[in-house]
Amino acid sequence: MGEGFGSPPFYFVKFKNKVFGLLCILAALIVVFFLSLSIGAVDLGFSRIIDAIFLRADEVANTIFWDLRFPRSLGSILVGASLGMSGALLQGMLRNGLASPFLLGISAGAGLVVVVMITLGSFPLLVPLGAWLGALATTALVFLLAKTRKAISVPRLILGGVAFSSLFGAIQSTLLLFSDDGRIQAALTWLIGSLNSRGWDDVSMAAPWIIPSLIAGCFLGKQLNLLSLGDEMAQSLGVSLLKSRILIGACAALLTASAVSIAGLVGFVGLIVPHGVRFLVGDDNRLVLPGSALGGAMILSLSDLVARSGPVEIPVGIVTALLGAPTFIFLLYSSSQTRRQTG
Amino acid sequence: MKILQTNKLSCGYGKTLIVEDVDFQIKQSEWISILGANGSGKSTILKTFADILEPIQGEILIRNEQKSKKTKNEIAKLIAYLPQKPNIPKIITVKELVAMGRYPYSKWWQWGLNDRDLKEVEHAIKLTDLEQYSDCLVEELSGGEVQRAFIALALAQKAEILLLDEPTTFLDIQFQIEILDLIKKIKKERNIAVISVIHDINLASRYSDKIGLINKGHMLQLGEPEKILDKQTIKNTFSIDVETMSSSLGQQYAPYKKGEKDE
Repeated sequence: MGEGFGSPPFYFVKFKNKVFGLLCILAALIVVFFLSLSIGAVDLGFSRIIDAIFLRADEVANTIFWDLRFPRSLGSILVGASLGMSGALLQGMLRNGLASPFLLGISAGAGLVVVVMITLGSFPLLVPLGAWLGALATTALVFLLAKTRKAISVPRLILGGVAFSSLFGAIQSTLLLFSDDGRIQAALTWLIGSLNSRGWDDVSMAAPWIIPSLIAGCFLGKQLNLLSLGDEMAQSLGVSLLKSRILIGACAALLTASAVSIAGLVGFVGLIVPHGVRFLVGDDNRLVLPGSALGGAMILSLSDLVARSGPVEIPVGIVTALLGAPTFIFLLYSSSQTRRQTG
Repeated sequence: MKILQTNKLSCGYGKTLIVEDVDFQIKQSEWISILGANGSGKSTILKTFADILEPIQGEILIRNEQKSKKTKNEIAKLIAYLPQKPNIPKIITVKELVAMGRYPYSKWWQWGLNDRDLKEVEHAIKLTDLEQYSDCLVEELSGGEVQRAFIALALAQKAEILLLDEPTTFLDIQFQIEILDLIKKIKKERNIAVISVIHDINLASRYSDKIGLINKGHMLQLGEPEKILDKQTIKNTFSIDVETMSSSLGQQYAPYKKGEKDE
């Protein structure tokens, strides 16, 4: 696991430093959350935010806080945490550092349903629900294809995801080709991923799925640690490959599908955040999973803040890709330097 | 007392039969090594004992109880298995690795180790002489030390049967002896049964109480090394001739190809 990165410096391995790493991510998340509540077209200072929390501020501040910034910030935290943890779960389960939450056909399934709904102009209010159902249905299909008598085959899982992604991607492209410009624009914004004008409706629909899945995910770290020893060793320690992979896959799929239903296909967060977190807390999945949830929430909140800080708001998916790719390259470079120095 | 036995056990991968009609039994604190050519089914038997593969026919009894009626967790508390080449997670210390052996005893909600777990982990590390490496990364250890760390993991599992699939294959001769001596010591101290697959006939016969000879999926013989290992049985098992000679370490076997002796 953690492919692509060498071992971080040895001192990170000590437990106190691991927990310190986790606390650093949490502190960064709190700072970014406060900034995202504060910064915008109308800036809100600390005291105004406190007043707005208790509905003691002026009406404009109360409205901005409760109807616009707070639900959007909460949405970005939920989406980021879901993508971060889902990426860590899949990278751990598949023992592949290149696994992302969208690997198992989730993006393809959600994308196809959304493109169908947008291009046909049917039930626009049900697009998030459609995305959620499309994502889960595709993941279920991929898992069914990968199921053997006693286990879930990892190569078949990956290849099934790739096959469905190609097929559904081709259908999406065909539908977009025959659509008018307005609908293509709407579909593309969704496919890139955006938090623009997300509010309480979106948050309240996804939160009941995301919060229990995040809690459940935190308890899967031990099983992921055992799976990192290889299938045979894990089985001899009492792990059922079938049960554990279904549990991990279901948790990752629920998280990603719910995140997609709020924000569309936001890339890079689920791929990069778990690597960055491992760099801070080591490979112990009991820490990597909550760390990736916190890290994902922090990165997406920060990206959303950047996305809406310019003169024109851009989709957050573009920011995550623009920030994510160079960060990934930097981490890759610095870890290879560390490796050269230590060994 | 018989701790594990099989009745007409047939096993393999999926529906492909590799091993047929094996009757096998092992007592407490006994060490049996299974010898046979590549592809003869040695590892398949071990994996079936370890609940990685399911028997196709026949049954396995652990302490006279059917293994098939036990849960995975119950089996993991009775049988520990070390594969030929376990995967080493990148950033893991010896202590963290050994602690994984306590998984069958932990509840799903339990995040860390309790006092009993810690005691077992420390004891396993002590028994395998790894105390000074306890906080070192496993990937930084030598081959022999890594093997000792995985044996410590199996010990922390507190199982009554230890299955070892070629525990010395990737080690030089010094570490081979070191590991086999360690297993002998553990067997005595913990009173456990050991079933191993070892390719070296000389080492297998020197360390094991019994040898099981397997050829093309059939168990040819099971008995004490000096009673069953001779030129003919080795030829039946490996299709190769051997020269036997006595030494202070017991009977030694030197394989050769026909015609090689005349050159």
